[in-house]
Amino acid sequence: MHIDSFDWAMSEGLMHLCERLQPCEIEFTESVGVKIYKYWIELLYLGQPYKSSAAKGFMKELKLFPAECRMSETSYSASLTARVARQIDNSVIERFEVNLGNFPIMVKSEFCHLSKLTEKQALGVGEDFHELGGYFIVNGVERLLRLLIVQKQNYPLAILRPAFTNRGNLFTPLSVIIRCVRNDLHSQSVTAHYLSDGTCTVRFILRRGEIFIPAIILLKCFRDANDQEVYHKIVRGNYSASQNYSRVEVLIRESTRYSIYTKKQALEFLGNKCKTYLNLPSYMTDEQIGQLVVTENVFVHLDDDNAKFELLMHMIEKLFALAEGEIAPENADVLSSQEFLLPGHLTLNFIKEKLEDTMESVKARFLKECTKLGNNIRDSEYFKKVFEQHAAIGKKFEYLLATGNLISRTGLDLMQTNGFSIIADRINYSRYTSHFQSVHRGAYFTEMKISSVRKLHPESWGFLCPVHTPDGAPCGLLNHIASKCRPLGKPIDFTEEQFLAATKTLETLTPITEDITTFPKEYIPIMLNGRVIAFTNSGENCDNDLRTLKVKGVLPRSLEIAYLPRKPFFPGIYLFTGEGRLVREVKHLATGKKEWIGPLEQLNLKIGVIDNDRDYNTTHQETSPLSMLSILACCIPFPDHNQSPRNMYQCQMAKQTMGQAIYNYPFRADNKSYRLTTPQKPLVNSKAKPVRNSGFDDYPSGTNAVVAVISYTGYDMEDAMIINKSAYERGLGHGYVYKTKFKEVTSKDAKFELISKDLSAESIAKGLDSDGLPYSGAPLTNGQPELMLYNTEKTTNKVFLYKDSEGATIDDIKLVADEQDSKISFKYRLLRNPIIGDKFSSRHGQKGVLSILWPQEDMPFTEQGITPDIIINPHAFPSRMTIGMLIESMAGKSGAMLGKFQESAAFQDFDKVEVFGTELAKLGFNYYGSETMYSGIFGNQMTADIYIGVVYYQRLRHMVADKFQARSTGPVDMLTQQPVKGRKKHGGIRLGEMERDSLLGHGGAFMLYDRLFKCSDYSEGYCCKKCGSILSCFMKKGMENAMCQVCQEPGEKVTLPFVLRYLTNELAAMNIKLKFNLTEI
Amino acid sequence: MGDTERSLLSKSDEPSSLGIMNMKKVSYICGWCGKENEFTSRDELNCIGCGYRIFYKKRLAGGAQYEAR
Amino acid sequence: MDVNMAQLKSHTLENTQTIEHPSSGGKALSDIFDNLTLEIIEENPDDMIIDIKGIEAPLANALRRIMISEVPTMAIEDVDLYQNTSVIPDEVLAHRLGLIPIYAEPEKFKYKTQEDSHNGENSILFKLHVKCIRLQDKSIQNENVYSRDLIWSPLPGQEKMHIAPVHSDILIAKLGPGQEIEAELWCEKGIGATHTKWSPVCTASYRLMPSITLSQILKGENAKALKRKCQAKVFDIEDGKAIVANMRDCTSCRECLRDENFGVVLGKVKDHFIFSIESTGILKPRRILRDAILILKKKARDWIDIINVYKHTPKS
Repeated sequence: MHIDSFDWAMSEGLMHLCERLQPCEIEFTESVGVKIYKYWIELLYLGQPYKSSAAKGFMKELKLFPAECRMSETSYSASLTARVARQIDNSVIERFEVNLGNFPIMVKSEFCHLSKLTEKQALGVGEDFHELGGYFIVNGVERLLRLLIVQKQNYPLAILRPAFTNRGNLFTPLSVIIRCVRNDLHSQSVTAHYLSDGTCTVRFILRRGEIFIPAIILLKCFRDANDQEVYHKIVRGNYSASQNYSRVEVLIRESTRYSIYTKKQALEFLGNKCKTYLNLPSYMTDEQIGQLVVTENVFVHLDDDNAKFELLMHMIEKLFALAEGEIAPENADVLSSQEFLLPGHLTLNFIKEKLEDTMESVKARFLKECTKLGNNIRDSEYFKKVFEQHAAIGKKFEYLLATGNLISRTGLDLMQTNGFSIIADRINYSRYTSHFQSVHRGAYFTEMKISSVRKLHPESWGFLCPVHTPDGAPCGLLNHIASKCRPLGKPIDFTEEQFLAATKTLETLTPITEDITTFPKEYIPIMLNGRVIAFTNSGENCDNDLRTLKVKGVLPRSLEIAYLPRKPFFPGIYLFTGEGRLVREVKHLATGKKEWIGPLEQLNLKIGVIDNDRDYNTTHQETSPLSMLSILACCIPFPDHNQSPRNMYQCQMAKQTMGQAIYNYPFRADNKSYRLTTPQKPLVNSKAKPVRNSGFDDYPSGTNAVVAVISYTGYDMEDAMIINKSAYERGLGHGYVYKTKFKEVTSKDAKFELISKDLSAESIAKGLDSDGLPYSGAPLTNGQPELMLYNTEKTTNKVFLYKDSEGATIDDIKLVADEQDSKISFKYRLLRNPIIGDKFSSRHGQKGVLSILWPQEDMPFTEQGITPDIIINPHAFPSRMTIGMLIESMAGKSGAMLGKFQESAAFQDFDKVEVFGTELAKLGFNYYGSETMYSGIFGNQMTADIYIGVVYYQRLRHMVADKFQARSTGPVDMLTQQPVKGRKKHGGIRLGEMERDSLLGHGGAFMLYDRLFKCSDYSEGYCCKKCGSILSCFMKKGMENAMCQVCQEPGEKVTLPFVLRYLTNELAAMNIKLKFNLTEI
Repeated sequence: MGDTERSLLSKSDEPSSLGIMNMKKVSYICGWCGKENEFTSRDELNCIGCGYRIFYKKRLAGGAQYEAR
Repeated sequence: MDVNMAQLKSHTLENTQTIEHPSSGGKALSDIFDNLTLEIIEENPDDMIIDIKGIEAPLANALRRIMISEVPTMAIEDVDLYQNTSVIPDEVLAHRLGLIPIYAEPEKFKYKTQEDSHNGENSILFKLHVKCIRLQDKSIQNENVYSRDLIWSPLPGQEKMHIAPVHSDILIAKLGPGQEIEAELWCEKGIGATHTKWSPVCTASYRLMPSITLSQILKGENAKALKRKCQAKVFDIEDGKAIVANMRDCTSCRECLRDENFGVVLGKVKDHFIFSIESTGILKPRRILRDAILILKKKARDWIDIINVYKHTPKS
C-alpha cells in the first residue's frame, strides 16, 4: 500500500498536480508599458536513482542501489525535474527543464531499480530475498512515512461539536462538514453551520483566513437559482411534522437582507470578502475573484457549479435534518467517517505546497529585482537560475523524512506538525513489518486528556486490530491494520459518465438531468464521491442492484457502496472511488463471490463471522474470523484462550525479540542489529493465510524449549525463570549483536588521511594492520587501539582507541568513499549469550528474567529422563489466565513427538485439550500434559505432577550487558563535585528524595551520611570562627594554618559538601554573606 | 611441535616474525564485483574492475584463540 | 498401605517420600548390601538399561548425577582459528566444534591445569582446513564441512592411540566458493559439571518400577477396553479376563485411571530403579556405569578419610 500510493502519486498524481497548479502572473513595467510575465509548470517527472557522477574511467552511468546507500550513509534519491513554461505578454511560450533537486525514492516503488528485479537478482545487488520495500533511505537510515487518519473525503459528515458556538454570534454546535479532495489530492474542508435563527452559514478556509458566507448567497454564487427552486429542493414536498419549510423561508429571506438576488451580485459579494486574502493582479474584478474562489476553494472536488449547487443543497438538507433531530450526529472518531492518508498522498501534498511556495518566491524575487534587472528580466538563464534556487524540494522532503517534522505554510490540512516519519528498524521481522501496518491517529491527540479517541469502536471491525495496540501513552492512538484490510493507494479510474452508463439499465435509479433535479422526499440521493448524481425511491433494491453489478465486475471491484437506509443516518447511497479508503474482502452470499467492502459500507451489511452466524437476512460472510486481527495478533497461538491484555502484551513483545531479522548482514550497516544463533520455527504455529504470508517462517525469532511449570529451588519466584545449564551450553538462546560505527576520515575540513605509507611500521607495533586499520576478525577490548590515521596538519599519526567496556570482534571493515569524503565503517560483533538478568518471554505476554543457570543433574527429570530446558513458576498463571500458553505446551509436546507443526490459529472450533490430550495419551503421555517427575537433587519422586511441554520461547532484546550500571568512584560534575549521572558517562545512580526518606525512616543516619556526603561531594575547607565565613579562610604558601584574610584569625578545619561552598560563592556574588557558627559536637 | 607453536598475532611480541607476515600490501575486496584492490592513498578508492567505491577489508589468515564454549 | 510403594492416583501422587527418622533405626548396612541386586536388562553399543534393586533414592540419584556430570571425557576446548571466511562467526564456530564428541580414552590423559601447556599427556590435536572451491565444471567442492574433516594429528606419545570424532557426519559449517576455514583444535580432559560437552551421556536417568494390580476382575468388553486404553500394552486378556502382562512398560500416563471403573491400582516400587544410560558414543554405557561407581566409591572413601581425620583429632 505504501508503494502503491507512492507509485500513483509520483506518476498520475504529479500529472494532476501540474494541471491544477495555478500559473503565476507578474505585472512589470517596461518602456512600452505594463507587461504580464506568466509562468507555470507543465510537467513534473521523477527519474531513477543513478550515481551522480561516474567514477573516472567509467563513462557509463551507474545505477544506485539501496544497499549501497545503506552501507555508505547516503540517501536513495533520484532527480525530480520540472518542465517550466514561460510566456511574456502573450508572446511565444518558452519551456525550460528545471532540476528540483534529488528527491528520495521509495524502495521497491516503480522508480526504484529493485522493482524490476527478481528475488534472485535482488540478492545479487545486496538485498534480502524477501525485501518488502515501502520506505525511504535517508542518510543510510531506513525511514518510512506513517499512515495517518483523516476525515473521509467527499462525504458530508453531520457533526455536533460544542466548540462551534465560539465561532460567532448565533452559532450552534450543529454542522455538516465535508472534506473535499480534488484529484491532485488538494483538500479543502467546507462546513455548513446551523445558526440558532434557523439559517445556515458556510465556512471555509482561504489562505489561513476564515471565510463565513450565508448559505443562500453561496448557493446563488453557483447558479442563478430562484427562491422557489431552493425551497422545493430542501423541503421536497414534505410539509408534515417538519419545521424545515420555515427554516428554508428564513434561509431565503437572508438573501434579501444583503440585497443579493443574482449570481453576479453573489460573486461580487464573495469576491469582495475574499480579495484581501488573495494576492491577485489588480486588473481582476470582484466578480472574477468570486468566481475564482468558487472554482478553487469551495467544493474543490467538483468541477461544475451545478454539482456544487446540488451538493450544498444536500448538505443544507442534512443539516436541517440534524437540527430537526431526524438524524443523529455522526462521530468523527470512528473509522466509518475516516480514511487514511498514505505516504504517497502526503508526498504529493508536500510537493504541491512546496511548488506553490517556489512559484511565489520566484515571483517575490522578480518583483524585488525587477527594477534592477531592466531588460535582463527576459533572460531565460536568469529565470532558470532563480527557479532552481528556490526549488530545493528534494532536500525539504528529505528533511521531513529525516526528522518527521513538517515545515509548512498551510499545515497541509493536517492536525500535526511532527511525527510524520519513523525509523523502520529491523530488530526482527515482526517489528519491521508492523511498522508498515501501523496507523497513528495523529500527534495532536496524544496530549488530549479525554480518552474518547482511544476507544475501540465497533466500526473498526475487520479494519483495525483490536489487540495490536501498545499499552500506555499511545494506547488506542497507534493502531495496526487487520490482516485482510487493504488501504487503497490509488483512486479507481471511474467517472460519473461511466457509472451512469453501467447503471443505465437499472430501473431503481433515476439520474439527475438538466430538467429534473428536484425529487420528492421518498427519493433518497445517490452520491458518487460527493456529487449528487441520481435519486432512488427504493434504496434497498437499488443497493442490491448496484452490489450485484459490483460483484459481477461491471462496477469496479473496490467501489464502496454505502447504503444508509434510515435513522439515525441521513438516508442515501454513497459511492466512493477515491484513494486512501480501506477495503477488505468478504464473501457475498447471494453470488458466492468475493467482495471488497469499506468501513462506511460495512455499517449496514449483515456479515456472518462464523458459519453458525447466518440467518435469513445475512448477506455477507467473513472469509475467516482471523481477518479481524492484525498479522502479529494472528501469530499468537490460541489467543482466544488468553486474557485479552496478555495478547496485547505479546504483540508488543514480539517486536522486541531477537531473531533472524535479515539475511543480507554483510550488505547492511545498521547501528545495532540483533541476531539469534539458532532460531527455530515455532512447533505450534498457525498455517492460516495471514501468518503464512507474514514471512515469519523465514525469519523466526525464538526457540522451542521444554518448559516445566514448577516451583523449584526458589530461583523461579516473581517471574524469574531457570534455564538448564546444559541446554544453555548446547546453545539455547545464544545470540549476538552487530554494531556499526562510521569514522569519517576525509571530508572537506578533515585533517586525517587514510592509508599512508608512513603508517605501517608504527601501526603494526600497535597490533594494527599496515594500513592503520585493525585486522578483519580481530578481537578488541576496552582501551585497545582500533585505528591509526595520519594527521596531515601535524604530520603525525593519531591512534584511536576502542572505547566500549564490552569486548567485541571486528566482523568486517569497509572503506566507503564518495565524492566529498571517505569513511571507514566498523562492524563489531558482540557475543551476547544469555546471562543472569536477560529477558525472555513466551508468546503469551509471559515475560521473565533468567535468574540462574541450573545444572542439568540438579534439574527434575521425567520417567523418560527428560530434563526441562526452562523452568517457570506456576504462580505465573492463576492471575494472568494465559490458558493459551498451557495449550501451546501440550500441543508443542505432541507436535515434537509426532514431528509435525501444530495448528494454533485463533477461533478454531474444537476442544483443544481433548485433541492434544488424546494425541499425548496415544504417545504414552498423560492426557492432561502433566508428568510425574523425580527431583534431581533428592532423587525421589515429587509429590505433585508437573506440567511439562514444549513452548516457543523468545529472547527479548533487553539485555543486562546493555544496562548494568555500577561505580565506586568516577567522573564528577565540574561545578558541584557531585557524581555525574548516566550510564554512558560511567555515572552514579541517584539516591533521590524518596530513597532518602526511606533511609531516614529506617534510622540509617550513618548510611545517609555516607551516601549523600562521603560518596558524593565531600570536601574539606576552613571556616573563620570569628566572622563565620568559609570564603575568606585559606592557606597561603608556607603557612601552617589557614588564616582568615579579613579577621586575621586562624581558621577552623571543617568538612562540608562542595555544593555548599558553591552556593556560598554564588550568594556572595549577589552580596549575600553566609555566616557559619561553629560549635563542637 | 614447531608447527603448533605458531604465534598468535594478538599475543606475540616478536616484531620480526610479524613483519614478514604483513609486508605484503593490504588488499580490499570490491563490494560490487569482488575484485581485489590495493590502495596507497584514499584518492584511489575506485575499484579497478567496476568503479564501485565500497570495499571490504580482506580477512587475512591470522590467528585468534577461542574457547570452544 | 505398603511403605515401600508410592501410589499414583488419577491426578495426585501419594507416599512418594520415605521419611526415616534416625531414631527409627533404619536398615543395617549389611541389610542393604545383602538385598542389593544389579541386573542388565538390555545392552546396546550406545545405550543400556539396568535394574538396581534394594537401594534408596539418594544412592541411585548419586549414581545418576555422577554419570551426567562427573565422568570425564575428552572434548575440544581451545580453538586456534587461523582463517574463517565462512558465514559462521568465529565464536559460534568454536562453540559448535566444542560439542563434537571425540572418541578417545580419557584415562590415558591428565587434566590440564592453567599453567600446563598443551602436550601429549593432556591434549589431543585436530587440524581442520577446508576451502570451498568452484571446479572447472561449475560444481562446488567442499560445500559442507563435516566432522570427518577434523584430522587428528598425534602429539608425541600418542602414536599408538586411536582417536577420531565419534560421528563422521556432523555438519559443522556450510561454505560458499572461496570461503575457507582453517583451525587447530585442542581437546582437553574435563567433566560435565564444567561444561556439558564433557558429559559422556546424552542423558542418564532412572524411573521406579511400576506396580500394577487390578482390584476387580474385568471381563469381556471391559477387559478389551482396558487393553485398548493402555498405549504401553501393559494389560492383556487371558481366559477372558484382564491381566497385567507387562508391568515394566508402564509409562505412568494414567490413562487407565481416568476411567475409575477399571479399578486399576497403580503404584511404584520405591527401591527398584530402572536405569537408562544413553551414551554420546565416547564411552560404552557399561564403562560409564563402572566409572560412575568408582567415582562414587572414591567419594565415599574420601569421606571416610575426612571422618577418620576428625575422629583422631583430639577434642579441644
